[in-house]
Amino acid sequence: MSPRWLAGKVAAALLTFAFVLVFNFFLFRVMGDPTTQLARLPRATPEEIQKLRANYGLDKPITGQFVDYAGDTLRFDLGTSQRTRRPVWTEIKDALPWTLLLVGTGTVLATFIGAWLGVIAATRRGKAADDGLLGFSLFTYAAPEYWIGIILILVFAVWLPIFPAGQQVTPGVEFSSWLDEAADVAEHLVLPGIAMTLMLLGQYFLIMRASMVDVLTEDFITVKRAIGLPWERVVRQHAVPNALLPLVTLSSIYFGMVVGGAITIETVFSWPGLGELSFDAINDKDFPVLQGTFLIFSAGVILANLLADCLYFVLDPRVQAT
Amino acid sequence: MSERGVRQLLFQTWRGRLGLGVLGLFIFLALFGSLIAPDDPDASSLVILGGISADHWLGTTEQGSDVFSQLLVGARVSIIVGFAAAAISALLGATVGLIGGYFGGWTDRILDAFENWFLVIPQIPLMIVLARLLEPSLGVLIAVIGLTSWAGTGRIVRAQVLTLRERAFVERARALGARDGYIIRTHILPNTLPLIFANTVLIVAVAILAEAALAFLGLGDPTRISWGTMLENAFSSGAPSAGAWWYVIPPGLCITLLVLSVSILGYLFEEYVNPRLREQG
Amino acid sequence: MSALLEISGLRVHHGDRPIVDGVDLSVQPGEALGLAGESGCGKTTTALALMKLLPATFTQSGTMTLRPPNVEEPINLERRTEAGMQQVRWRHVSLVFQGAMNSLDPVKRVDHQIAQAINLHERAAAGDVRARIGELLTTVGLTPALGRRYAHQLSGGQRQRVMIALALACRPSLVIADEPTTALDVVMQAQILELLERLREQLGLALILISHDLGVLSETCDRIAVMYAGRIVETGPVREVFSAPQHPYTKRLLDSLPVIGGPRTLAPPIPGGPPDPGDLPAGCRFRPRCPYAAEKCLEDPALREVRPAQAAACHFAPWVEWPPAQEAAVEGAAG
Repeated sequence: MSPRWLAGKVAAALLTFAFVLVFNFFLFRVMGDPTTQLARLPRATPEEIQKLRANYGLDKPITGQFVDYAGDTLRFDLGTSQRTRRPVWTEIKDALPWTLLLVGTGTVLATFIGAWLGVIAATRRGKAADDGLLGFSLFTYAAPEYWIGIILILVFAVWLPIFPAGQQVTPGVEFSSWLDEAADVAEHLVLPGIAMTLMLLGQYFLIMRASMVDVLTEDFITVKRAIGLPWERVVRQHAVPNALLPLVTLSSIYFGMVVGGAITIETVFSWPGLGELSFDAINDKDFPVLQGTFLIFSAGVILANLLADCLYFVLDPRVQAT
Repeated sequence: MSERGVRQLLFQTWRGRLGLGVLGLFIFLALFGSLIAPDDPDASSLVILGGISADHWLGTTEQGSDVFSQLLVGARVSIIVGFAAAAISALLGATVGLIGGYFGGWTDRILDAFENWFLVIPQIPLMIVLARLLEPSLGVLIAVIGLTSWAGTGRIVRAQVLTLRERAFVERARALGARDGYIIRTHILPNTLPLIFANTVLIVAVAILAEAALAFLGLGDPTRISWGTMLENAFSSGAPSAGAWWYVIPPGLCITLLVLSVSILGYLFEEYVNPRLREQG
Repeated sequence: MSALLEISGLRVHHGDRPIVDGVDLSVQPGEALGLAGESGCGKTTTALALMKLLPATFTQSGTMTLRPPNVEEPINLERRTEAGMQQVRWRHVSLVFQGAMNSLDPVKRVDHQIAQAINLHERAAAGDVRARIGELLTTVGLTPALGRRYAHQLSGGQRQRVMIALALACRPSLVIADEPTTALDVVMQAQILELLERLREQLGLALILISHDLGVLSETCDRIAVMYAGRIVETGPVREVFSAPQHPYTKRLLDSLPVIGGPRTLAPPIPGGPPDPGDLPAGCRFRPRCPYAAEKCLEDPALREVRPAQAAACHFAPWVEWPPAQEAAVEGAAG
């Protein structure tokens, strides 16, 4: 791996994150002057407010405040939740694994199924299968993921009580082994996982299909046929590997979409991840938590983009030459 | 992009007719929904989460309001927010793309960095933060969605302007002493407008989905009924557990159909404007 | 000696447009046949049709018979299924495609791709395959170490040589080279041609060399077939055709070749362009552009022997000498 290229990508990612920090800070300061929120405290006298301001460092000049904020953030001090009175970072730490589980499952499934369907559509271009799949992907894009989630609950948890309607574990149950607990979690993961996968499926399908269509027009595909390779193997061994490369980079456009979907789907299924945390914070106007989750979401997407770049670098011998 | 070509596209392809038809229906509802609704959508009654009946074709809400009436009226918010936000996004994106692409240099680099930043930042969390800070209303929603969706258009416009800038007719115009403003107005803009238009139609779909998502999360305009707020109310009042499918399915279906119709039209225009896409199908 | 390859009545249609319209060709073992003509006349289509590599939107008919040495029964290519063709392709006839820039899989090594071709048609031990790849690369003038590289790490000329090595991998008796020198500079051109000539001698290969450049064909080929608008208009030994062309199109092609030491003028280009397959002229297809066209040319001329071993599709062949061209007649003769 060319260290210079890698360093460049990491530097760009850090710079983007730095801008997120600045933006986050100024947004909340400019638009939500904490003094007005402090004034929510019942009957606060001007002196008390003044003392609190000093406490929060609000009497310092704005650049000083930003340095404080940046320093705190990098030390994982993201403030205190106005609702639970616990440190924001603790709330985020507890919620993060659940979001990763949901998002990870959805992304992996959507990538594999989407890619597989994309190959099918590309090799049957213009025929019924292709048209059907295109229509299906358009539908999953247009249908709000939380609506799909609600319908899944309706069908598979209410009408046919196969799966649980929400949360990540069955409440109040003691588990004899972690395997049993894992199985319980898995059962609760099914419906939100399906909602998440369906939301992303269409995008990955379209990318893979377009990529395959491109690759199939290349000269080397005809050459592989000419040497006597059966078509099925030409597709599998030569078209698909070349088509997967753009999938890695192009799909990074949709990482932001993943986050948005996580928020709404977790809300529908009461899944205790960052999404539900955000939803509660919206309702309670818990700004420290909102600020913290926005930061984490942004950092997550920046990191995901960086990983996608690295992955592409590893897979494509042409890039390694740089 | 000729007027005749557009008309042909809209009225003589089945996709154009379908998209236009469904979109037209929803625009009609946006305009006249409140007039043709059988009941006052805000009127409550004692029939809570009631099922389908002769009085209430799609049952009642958790406040006893008529679901069907709410559905008809809800079209207005989606149409207004969708188109207004897309217009703002198009204006912003086109301006940034034009200025950056045409003038190049440091202006472009700064604008480009700005644009890339907006592309990386996850859209929904950003919109949530902005909407919560500003207290939700229709105007806030339009502004928030418009201000966060422009980067895609910006990137496309910039790429187009970059290629146009190097073309012979622009160099010729410059050699003849034409000013930048003139060149942009007479040479660059006409060749970029079709692209902007096609892209903006697709942004309308994005904006409609964004409004619905924000409404579902409780950030919609509290004084108005929208399909998103219907879903929010349905969900928070336990309609799914109560099996009230007549309340839960229609609003989402309307969102889906509206977004589908706009997307079909958007892809139609995009193919028309970008011939390469036409060949690759 | 029975022909190695015998094509008879080959017709290729794209929808209802005839791209190749009744082509007869034969190649003897070890012979080099040049296939000449402007772009779009159907040369590449003929080659692809021979290997049945045309996309499904094309239909083809006619017989194509291959009689490789050491094979008992003649292979009737037109009757072979796709699975049957997979056995014939590369083993008995291979193709060096036009433009080698993108002919190799970008994410796989060169030697693996040559090995792939070998392993498709023979059972050979890995060590033998490796040795053979080294030999092949050396034969085309490359160092065996280049096999470990990827396509993008090779220059244009190197890629072209790799494609030739690939074409020889299964020791076919016939190799088709489609414009093997077009994308290369003059020096590279000469080297590739020389390579092809050497390989022919060493391996006893038969070669079909497709090119629009008559100069290239004159050096390497024994016989030449000139194609126009999907049909063969002249065939014959290279020397004879070049010194005594029997078709006006061939004559004009030859006229356009600059002669070193000759008059320093450009030959007048042939007016007009080749006909659109959807809109073919009646009778002789060259008639609208032919300076010698007459009434009789409204009748389709058959390809017939007009001199020993030389055939032409022209009513007025054999031509002993060429009268001055009547340019004006061209416009009137159209339609």
